[in-house]
Amino acid sequence: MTAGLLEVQDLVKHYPVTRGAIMRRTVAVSRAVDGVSFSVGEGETLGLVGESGCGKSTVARCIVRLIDPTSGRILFDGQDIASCGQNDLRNLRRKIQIVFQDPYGSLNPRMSVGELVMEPLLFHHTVKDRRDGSRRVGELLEMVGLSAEHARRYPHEFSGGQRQRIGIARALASQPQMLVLDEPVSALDVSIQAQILNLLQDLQSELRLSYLFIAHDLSLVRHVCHRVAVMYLGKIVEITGREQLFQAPQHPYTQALLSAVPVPDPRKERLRRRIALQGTVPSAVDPPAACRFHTRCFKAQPVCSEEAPPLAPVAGQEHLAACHFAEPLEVV
Amino acid sequence: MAVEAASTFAPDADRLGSPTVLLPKKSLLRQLIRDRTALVGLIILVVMFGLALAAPLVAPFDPNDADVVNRYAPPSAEHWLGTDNLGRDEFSRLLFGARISLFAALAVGIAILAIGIVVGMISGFAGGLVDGILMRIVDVLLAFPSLLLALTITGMLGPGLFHLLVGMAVVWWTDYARLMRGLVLTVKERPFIESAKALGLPRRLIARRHILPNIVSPVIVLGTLQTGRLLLALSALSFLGLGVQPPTAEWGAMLSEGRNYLASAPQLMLYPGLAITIAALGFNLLGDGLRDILDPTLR
Repeated sequence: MTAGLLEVQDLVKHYPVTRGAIMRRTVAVSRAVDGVSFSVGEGETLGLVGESGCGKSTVARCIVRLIDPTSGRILFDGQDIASCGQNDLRNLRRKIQIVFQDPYGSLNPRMSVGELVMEPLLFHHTVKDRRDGSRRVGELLEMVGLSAEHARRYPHEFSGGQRQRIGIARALASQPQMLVLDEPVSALDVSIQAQILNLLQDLQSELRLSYLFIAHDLSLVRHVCHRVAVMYLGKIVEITGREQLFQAPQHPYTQALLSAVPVPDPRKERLRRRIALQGTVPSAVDPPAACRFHTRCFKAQPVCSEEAPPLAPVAGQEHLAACHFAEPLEVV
Repeated sequence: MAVEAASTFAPDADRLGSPTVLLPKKSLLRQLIRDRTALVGLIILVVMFGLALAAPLVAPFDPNDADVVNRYAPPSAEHWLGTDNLGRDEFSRLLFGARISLFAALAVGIAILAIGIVVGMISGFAGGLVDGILMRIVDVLLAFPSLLLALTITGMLGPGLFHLLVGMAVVWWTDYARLMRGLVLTVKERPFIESAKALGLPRRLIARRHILPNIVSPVIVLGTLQTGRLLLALSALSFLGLGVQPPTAEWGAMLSEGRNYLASAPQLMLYPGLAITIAALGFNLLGDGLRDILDPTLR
């Protein structure tokens, strides 16, 4: 693959853990994201999966600079989002937008739908004036499967799925090249999830958008993503194309995750071996030394707690995994 | 690719202009009329303020004309509400008193609203040291009995209506500041604020377009309740001789004057008391109606 539209290089976000109200001092750091690198090509969807608290939302927020990363580079079209000034940042924000998880909270209840979609249009000079804007608002609403008449209504009059469509229309208003989708469907009913996913796919092919799709549901990821990165405790443990990941996962954590995905065929399901991980996710404040997964890994050897495995090619240049004992295992 | 000419412009905050979201697009007046509660409040206030403004035209007598022979007169065709202890026409005094009471309460109300909103917004937004200092000032002011503090300040400045208003404003803005700060802190953490940030909106636009409209309704409700309270406080301070000086007519002053004749002529306290109550009721009803109108989820 060629150089991506978005290149994240060694992204780190540490949160200080402080004590005391007046004499505030830092007693530890929480390593929410600890050296994450990936790239997303033009028109491509990269899935970022992992369980709660593994840092995937932190990555999303760093990319749109809702929070400042501790270190690392986030190159978008060659420009560094992580370190650019306010003016460049505004320009970048036009090109890279985010859709949030919570369709109920992420729309200002006091603004009509039209006003919500109009805001980015006017702010980013995508339209000449309000009249031009109203026309464009109608187009955008129709583009996401609503109708132009909805512009006069207020968010509370819509269902969750419709609200998420409004959120998407708002994100698309500034004509971005890339959308960061932070669990865009996990708050929705399954039947609505499919509609939103199909909408996202249609929009992608129509507008040649790139997506960073954050999810914790692997079956969703399989449905929409071209490539998938698996995160565990602030690090990427495996990244590869969708089919390779599902057919020949290399990292034990990925294998354990996939083995938990139910298979619709009961006969196959009976023959499957489920990998049950022991214990819970360690704290990001004091992560295990070397390989972060060794405390729960069914393959762990002494070397795993002494030497951190690099994220290196394991089966071809495109399939990277961070494990000393990476080997494919059919689990789905 | 979807990037063209538009990129040559810098994102522009001013184009977003006034917070049209603050007020609904349909004429506010029309909605007020449709809401029965608000309508009653509105009518009360319009009538009262109208009568106050038109007092010199409407009042049958000069409010300070004493007719000593005709003291404590009962209501009659000539003196609609009778006369007071000096034989002054009670109705005329109520009308002229409204000019001072209503407008003074409104002026203080607006002043403390402005101070409170600004301080509260700054405190909630800035956080840290600024927040700490501002809120400690509020704590100090709240720790004093407010009437006593207003009294002290006015006393230091010297008696007079304007000084009284200053004294009251200095003391009573704290409630708004506290309320605003709390509301800003809550709204600041709601997801749509993050969404506005992701859009690239600068902080002052986020404050104006996204935070302020979401906190106006409690402030309006508090404001209407406060104005009623201010009306009473104003009267109390006038009674203590710090504000309006006799013989000027003012509801509070009339109320306290009437106290001396409570046994013989209770109507002298009843009329200004009723006037204050009805005015406060008008403010409350209007505030209630406004809250419903300003909240789109209740529409």
